[in-house]
Amino acid sequence: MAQNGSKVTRRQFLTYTLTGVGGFMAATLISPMVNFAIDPVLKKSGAGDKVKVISLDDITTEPQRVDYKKQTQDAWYEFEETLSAWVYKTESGEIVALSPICTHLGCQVAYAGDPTRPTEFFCPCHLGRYEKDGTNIPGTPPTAPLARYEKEEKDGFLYLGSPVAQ
Amino acid sequence: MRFDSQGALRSIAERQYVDTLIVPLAELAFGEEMVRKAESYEVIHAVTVETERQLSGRTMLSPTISYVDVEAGVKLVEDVVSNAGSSGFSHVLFIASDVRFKPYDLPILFVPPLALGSMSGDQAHTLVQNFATQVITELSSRWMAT
Repeated sequence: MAQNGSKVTRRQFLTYTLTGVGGFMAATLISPMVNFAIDPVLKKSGAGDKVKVISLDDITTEPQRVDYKKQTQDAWYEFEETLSAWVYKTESGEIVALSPICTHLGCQVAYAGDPTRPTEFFCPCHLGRYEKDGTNIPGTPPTAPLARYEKEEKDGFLYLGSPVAQ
Repeated sequence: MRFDSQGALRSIAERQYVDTLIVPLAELAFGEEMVRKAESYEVIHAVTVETERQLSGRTMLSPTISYVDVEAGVKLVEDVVSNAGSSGFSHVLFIASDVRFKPYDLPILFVPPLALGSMSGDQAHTLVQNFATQVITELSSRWMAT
């Protein structure tokens, strides 16, 4: 049946061709499905990204609140989250960026929020108190110190990442 | 906390700490008035969300209560106050911009109906912060009084 010089029969040729084409079609169908199923894994996590918040020159030894926005992704839903940080310089020049979230139930603390204690962070919700360095004061509701943001100093600006519990 | 399933569970578990309900109160209109009512709602929404963000450990942000008629609005407000009160929310504060509620003796804090959309992002942010600070000051003084 095979013609001279050819080692592939007509039947084999058709089998190979159909398998090849069929495989290609199956791949076309399946690959988007696989892609779809594992999509959350492929998406880049925004957690490690740092956001520019304030010029280094504007940071003083007195804690100040800076508000900034960060693109956040919650599964499929992307939104702009408003975040705050209390930023100051220590005597030795080290920059501290504290998260304002009270470790008790999540209200926002304010530096000198209680005028009678001008060098403490104060939570108006349940009267929690923290030292200037974020240490919780025993006898008040919070049981852990304020979180500190991951930080980076670059080109004269302070960049903040995710808060890290202390 | 917010009025979602997680927030609700937490608010029940921590009721001794979560004793304050913040309620946005907005007028609903459909004719020519719609744009202005929507502007007021934008301010009310932004201020209540920001207040909840700062005080989330003690407050719950209710879904917006909307009304087309002031009299009916008053009735709604009274119902919410009495129901929330009997469930342990000893402080209920409404945020509205409709001064027609002023003659009634209701726990409403008024914010002016400004057009946030026509401002720059920074201006709008500062404004919302200022109003939220007023609400927080008001709540703090109520908390201190008890």
